[in-house]
Amino acid sequence: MLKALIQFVQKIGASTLAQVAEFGDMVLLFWETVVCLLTRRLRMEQTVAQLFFVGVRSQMVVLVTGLFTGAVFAAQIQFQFHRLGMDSATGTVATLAMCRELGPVLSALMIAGRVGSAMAAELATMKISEQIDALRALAVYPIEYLIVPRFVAMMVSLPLLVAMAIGAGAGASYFVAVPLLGVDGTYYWDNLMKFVAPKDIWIGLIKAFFFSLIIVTIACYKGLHSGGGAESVGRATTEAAVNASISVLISNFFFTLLLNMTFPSN
Amino acid sequence: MEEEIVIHFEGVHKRFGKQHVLRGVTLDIRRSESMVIIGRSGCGKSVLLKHLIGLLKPSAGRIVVEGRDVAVLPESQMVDIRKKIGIVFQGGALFDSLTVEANVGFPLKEERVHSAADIKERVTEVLEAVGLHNQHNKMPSELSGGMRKRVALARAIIRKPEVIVYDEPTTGLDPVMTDSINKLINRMRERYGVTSIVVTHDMKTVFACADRVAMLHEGVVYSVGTPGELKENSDVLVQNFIGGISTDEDTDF
Ligand SMILES: Nc1ncnc2c1ncn2[C@@H]1O[C@H](COP(=O)(O)OP(=O)(O)OP(=O)(O)O)[C@@H](O)[C@H]1O
Ligand SMILES: [Mg+2]
Repeated sequence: MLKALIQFVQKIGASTLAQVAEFGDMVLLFWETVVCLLTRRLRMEQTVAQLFFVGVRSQMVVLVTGLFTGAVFAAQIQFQFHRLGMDSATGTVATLAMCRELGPVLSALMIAGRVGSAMAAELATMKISEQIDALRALAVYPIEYLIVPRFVAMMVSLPLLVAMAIGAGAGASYFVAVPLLGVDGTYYWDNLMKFVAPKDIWIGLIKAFFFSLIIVTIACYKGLHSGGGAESVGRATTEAAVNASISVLISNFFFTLLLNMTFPSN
Repeated sequence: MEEEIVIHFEGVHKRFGKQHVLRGVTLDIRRSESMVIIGRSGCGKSVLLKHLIGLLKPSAGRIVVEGRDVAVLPESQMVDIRKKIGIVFQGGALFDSLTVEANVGFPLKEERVHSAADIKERVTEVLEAVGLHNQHNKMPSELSGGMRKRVALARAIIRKPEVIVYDEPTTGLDPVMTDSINKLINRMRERYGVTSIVVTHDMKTVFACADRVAMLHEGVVYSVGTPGELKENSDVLVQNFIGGISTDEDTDF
């Protein structure tokens, strides 16, 4: 009994230690990347390719996410607020939610799934086929060649994609609320202008920026630290997507609290 | 300067977890010589080569390349040494997102001094040298195993480095191609004074290219000598290896 308990505690301890060590390694990777970004040349060719993959090719996904989240949110709010006679607040609530939470979080989740997993898979494949060793052998610093371009592409793309999602969501909520569900257009706009400020968009974009760092760090780490074999490429891929998504969701709560202190809503 | 030592392994140990792969490798490689390393599959030849350019760090021991101990050299200072050494990985390690031409031209492009036309010309030249014609725009995934190997070889020699490390350059090639690669290895040395380190299982390559042969066994250099001395060596292990004879314990299934 006691032995089992000790074993149990040992197991928890070991896995906690592993988690802490992994987190430390990720911070290290992040740091190395930042230093490299600031001190070495930026590989334009690689960066443009990544920008294309991360930014340009993700537009459809993010657009659909924004449109339908905005639409369904507006509809649901109108259904509920209608009972209180507050239809005209629909736009305000839906748009605020899009700016501050739904736009950044849902876009980040989609990007974690689409881009984070792809990055991890690509890097893991490069690792098991010794391509990363080959880079080092050719006197190329892998962080400079592989990681920095991915960081830059994510940092630039995700805020822009989130802006797109917010725009699409806000537009969709207008079309659902006003023409479709018969909310008064004038009041809708009036309230929107009164209660939604540029800072709400800023909150979304700032969150997007930090989410981009979280996703790209986890994805690159999982790719670079995969073991050997096809199975570990698969594992790196799923872990990148899952861990990045969970980290986005958890950190979002803290970002919300922090940003609410920085930009008080009143 | 005949006897100048370019690479000096001294008591190199390497452990992977519990597995003790290298158990004190000591070996000198002289300038402009062809050192062929033989040994049973899995005995640590590839691991040894990776130590040379700091891709792996030894658990103990010294590896002196051009007067510098790479075992303790930080990654940032490995660049100079890596520029002098070209390596052909056993699996090729071609960049699978780049075409054959971009792969082979990669080391030159990295130097950032050559014009695109210049690079293209040199790429065509080395690809011809390894017997690949008009394959410039293929992707690595579209090549056969032997072709991939030769592209990797082309990438390693294009910069004409001082030292070229070949990890099984002829495995998977047809006999004619093998002969032509052996000749290429010799030509690199004759024309450019390259120091070659060749890992191979092919006795033809051993006798065609080697100035000296080192046999790795159970993590140490079991014997070193010229190919002639190797042939004359009366040691059972050596004779079994070059004769390709397995003993009872190997076939005990
Ligand atoms: N990164 C690694 N992690 C753990 N073990 C490794 C690693 N690389 C090699 N090994 C182990 O080291 C041993 C030697 O491997 P190595 O690749 O050097 O063999 P080799 O002599 O090149 O064989 P072959 O002739 O088949 O290529 C093997 O048992 C292998 O399992
Ligand atoms: Mg090998």
